[in-house]
Amino acid sequence: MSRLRRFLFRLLNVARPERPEPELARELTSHLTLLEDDFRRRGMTPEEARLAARRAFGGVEQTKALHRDARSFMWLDDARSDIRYAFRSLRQSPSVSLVVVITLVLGIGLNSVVFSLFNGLIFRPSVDRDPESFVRIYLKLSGDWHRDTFGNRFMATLEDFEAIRSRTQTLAAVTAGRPATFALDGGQVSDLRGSFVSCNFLAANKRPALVGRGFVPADCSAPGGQPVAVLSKRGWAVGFGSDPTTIGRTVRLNNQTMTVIGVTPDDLTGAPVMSLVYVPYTMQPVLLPPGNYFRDSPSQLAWLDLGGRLIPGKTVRDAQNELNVIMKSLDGQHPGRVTDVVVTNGALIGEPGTAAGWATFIGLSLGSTTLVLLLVCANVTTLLLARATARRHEIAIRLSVGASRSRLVRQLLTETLLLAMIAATASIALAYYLPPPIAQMLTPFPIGPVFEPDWRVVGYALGLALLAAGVAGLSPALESL
Amino acid sequence: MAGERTDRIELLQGTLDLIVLRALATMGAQHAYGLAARLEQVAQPSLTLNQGTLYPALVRLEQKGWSKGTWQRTESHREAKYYTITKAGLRGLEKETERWRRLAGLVDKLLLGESS
Repeated sequence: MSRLRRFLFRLLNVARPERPEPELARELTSHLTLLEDDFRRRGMTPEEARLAARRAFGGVEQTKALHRDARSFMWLDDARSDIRYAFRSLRQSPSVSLVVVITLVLGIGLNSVVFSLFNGLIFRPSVDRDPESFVRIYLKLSGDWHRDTFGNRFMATLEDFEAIRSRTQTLAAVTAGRPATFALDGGQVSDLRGSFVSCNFLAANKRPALVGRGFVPADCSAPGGQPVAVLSKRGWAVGFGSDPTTIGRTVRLNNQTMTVIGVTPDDLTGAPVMSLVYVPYTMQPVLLPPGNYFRDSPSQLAWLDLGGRLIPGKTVRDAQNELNVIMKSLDGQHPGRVTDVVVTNGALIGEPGTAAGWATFIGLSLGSTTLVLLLVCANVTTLLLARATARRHEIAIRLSVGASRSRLVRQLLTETLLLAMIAATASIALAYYLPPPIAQMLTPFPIGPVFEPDWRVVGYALGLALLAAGVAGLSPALESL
Repeated sequence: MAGERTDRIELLQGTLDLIVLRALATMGAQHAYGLAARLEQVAQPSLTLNQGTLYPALVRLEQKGWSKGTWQRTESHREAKYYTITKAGLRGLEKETERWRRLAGLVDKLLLGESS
């Protein structure tokens, strides 16, 4: 209690540093007067008593400084006056300040934008609804066993999906999906990127349907049996101009007649690329011939990406352990097959076997942008050095009136840091606005809203700003002394 | 530098605050000069005090709410700021004294253990 009270008082005194000064001065004067009186009583002349009192007391100015230290947080107080002073000197040479900020924005902004791209696409799961419970499931096959893969090498067969779905105790939902592009007749575009999904997929990953309904289990009850489709909001707009009469109407996808039953929100479901149309995965025999995977090769053909939602309280690790047990028992039915299950939070960087590749890719990209930042710092250093030379006079005066060198270096660094922080703020704004159009340029598929800067991007930009301020500011600061 | 200065106060802080608090408790309301004179009188010759060094301790006690200062007249009709110990201060004194005793006892014990 008393500690908190003192802390608050000190904080208050940072806000109004001068306020207690008159009272302190009055108290010190009174103290000296009492001392003087005493010395005079002992027989000193007034003049002697005055000097003796000063001696006994010690330095008045030192006492004031000690008092300030004790009643306030001096470093905070110093930092505040440094910042105020820094603002003032930035305004004194606005053109240099502006050029420095713009140059730094080039360096820090470039880095932040690239980092934000990686962050949005790779470091965090592209999931809008409740990302904490989202999981991706990868099956890594090895051993003496052959199966066909239609898609990536971590996909699941219908049998795998069924086994995991029916036995899991850690996942509230197990979903299957498979990206596909559908030829569209009767819309405004000739094809729509979309997905085959299990009928719990939309309910697990998206908010409720905006118009009509999403899939229900009955839609997946029989292979080829339910020719229905759900559009995403974006797909509705792109393909049909958001025409309300689309819902309930039939459209032709891959030359098959499908009924549009609803519109689902654009929430991302694990990949940055959005699906514009969804169909039940049981429609594969009709929409993705040749063959009927359900009848011909339920345990032979891997064609489904698996995902899911954790039961509250269960972790990714719990799910991974459990699914490994489930798959081990299924492997028993396929002599020679060995399945390792990897469960991740959905971030691409967690995909098995890709870490080294990503590290190289990211290292090369950020490495070269960091080099650019260093070049920028060199330029800024030159500018600041020129200004430091011009300020020699001012600094000489400050030194001669008693400012310590370390205090001056701190102050000059604060100026650079302030410039860097302004640049960092602008860079964070760039990291917010630039990645979506850039990412959209990299792929013809619609990219979802995955680029809101989070603490990683902000931290990265601020970290770079600190680094840049240190690199670019230290030598001019030392030089000017 | 500020850092070193703070370190030195930190060393003194616990004891000086305790001593001042104790003096306030036994002597009643006192101004800073009175406290300094009293400490010099009691502690001589082992302690020579720059009287100014009392002020940080007085601020700390006041900010903690353990003492309170009011302006009054001395017998010689000079004005001075008189500090009195508060109720919280009395409780604090008890706690701090206990802590000091424990610490001193521990150090004593350790020193004795070392020498035997």
